[in-house]
Amino acid sequence: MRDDFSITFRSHPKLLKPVRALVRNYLETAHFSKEKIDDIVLGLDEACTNCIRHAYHGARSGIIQLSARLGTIWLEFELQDCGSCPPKDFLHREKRNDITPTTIKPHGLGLIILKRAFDNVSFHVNENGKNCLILRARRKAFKKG
Amino acid sequence: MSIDIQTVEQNGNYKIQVCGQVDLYTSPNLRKVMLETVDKSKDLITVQLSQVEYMDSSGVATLVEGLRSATKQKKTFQLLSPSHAVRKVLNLSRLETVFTIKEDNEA
Repeated sequence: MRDDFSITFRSHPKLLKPVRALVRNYLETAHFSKEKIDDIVLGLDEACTNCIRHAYHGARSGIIQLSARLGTIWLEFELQDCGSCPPKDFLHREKRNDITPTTIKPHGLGLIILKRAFDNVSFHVNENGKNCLILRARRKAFKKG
Repeated sequence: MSIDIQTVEQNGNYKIQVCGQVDLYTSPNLRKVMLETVDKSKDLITVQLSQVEYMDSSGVATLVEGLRSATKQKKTFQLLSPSHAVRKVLNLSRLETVFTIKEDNEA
């Protein structure tokens, strides 16, 4: 499957807004429902935010590459970075029991959102040593316009 | 900067009015204003969110910090008329029941 687009941008938080706009336009062109577009844009934004915060530890000079491809069944995004490798189990750290105003903690929310926004999320380190996050959403769930 | 934050005082309590997009770039501003406002409010902090076009987890984390700080100080922290974008991210992060949410006509 060929990429529909691939962009490279610095790990600067101010670039999140134009990246969101690009992805939103792309999904609108492909006639996805507004509700699903909102979910995917939010999930992808969380993935980019994780790159900036955790892979590059807030450094603004890191490189992030985002590719998108649309198949007959799946919409797939691939996010690559050259930052720190996350812990092996980072995609499976979702425990949020007994949340109250006194026990709630202001971190770990991005991963929860990311996993709820996409149908399938996987991570690997590629042959070039880059972190690769693959985010997939089923197309059949989308409403065609 | 794609965010506008204003505070309004009434009888010693403050309302924070947020307009625009809250993400990793803009949430540090909101955090600063929110924590200062929680400290100086008498007993109630209201965060007006009807004009928020977009919010991500860093925005939710900021709200969580405001709530925690207010709770520690035995003050009430409430969200007012959250927009669709805010409700969506609260729902996806499973935190919609943690916050006290009011609509404009009941605040």
